[in-house]
Amino acid sequence: MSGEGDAPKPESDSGFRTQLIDIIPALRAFARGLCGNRDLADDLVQDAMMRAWAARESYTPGTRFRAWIFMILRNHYYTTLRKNSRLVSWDPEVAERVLVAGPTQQDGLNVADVQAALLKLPAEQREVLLLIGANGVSYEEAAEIMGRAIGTIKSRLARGRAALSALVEGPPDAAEASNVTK
Amino acid sequence: MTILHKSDIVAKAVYVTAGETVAMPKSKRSKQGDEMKGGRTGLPADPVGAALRRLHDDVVAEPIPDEFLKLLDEIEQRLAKQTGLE
Repeated sequence: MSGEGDAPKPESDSGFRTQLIDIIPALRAFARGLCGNRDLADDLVQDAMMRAWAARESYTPGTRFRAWIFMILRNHYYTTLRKNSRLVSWDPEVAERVLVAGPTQQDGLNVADVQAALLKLPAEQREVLLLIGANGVSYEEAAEIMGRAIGTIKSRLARGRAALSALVEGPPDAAEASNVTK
Repeated sequence: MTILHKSDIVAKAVYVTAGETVAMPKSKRSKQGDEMKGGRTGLPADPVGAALRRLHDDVVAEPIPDEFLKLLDEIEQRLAKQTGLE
């Protein structure tokens, strides 16, 4: 950026708009994984976009835009969750519409089963699995998004992975179980 | 030229190590990695991880619904008005 002056220069509106548009698919994927429902997730993303736009001056250009807006979305998700638990309700009929690609056995696991299992996990585990396992963000960025230490992120991820595996693949065998409890 | 040179070196390495130690195991290793990821049995080494990634990729592959772009237009207009009032 050319404007590295005294105060961080606010992003131009058109630049901000472009960044927002670019991040929409990833935001939709994150939100849908969180609430398991396409319409609710898209509402969540649109709310996050409005909040991001209203707060765009708090974004420092050159820093991770994705982390900034994911943080807005997940904070809004938790606020909404406290008021309205339907954001995590799992409805198999809705699920069929959510997962437009349809289940396949190609990878051994049914995507709809994994989404259903995710919704049974505590939100903090679900979110870390979606950020790191699904979206592929780094531990560091996940820590930034969730406002927690990297160590916390790692332990939540480990617990989440174990819980998710147990739900979709059945209980772990004895050897795995002893690792999990460590 | 460069390619010839490079393949010469690789060929030499394979020859010198008699296909055992340096060059061969490296290529074997990457093949084994591929197999573990999904080849023979059809089962990935990490089925849960693969399913999580597909959950993400499936949504990302969807086209962005028009309502999102309309919303951006509306937000811009509304905030332009709001900043006028503030």
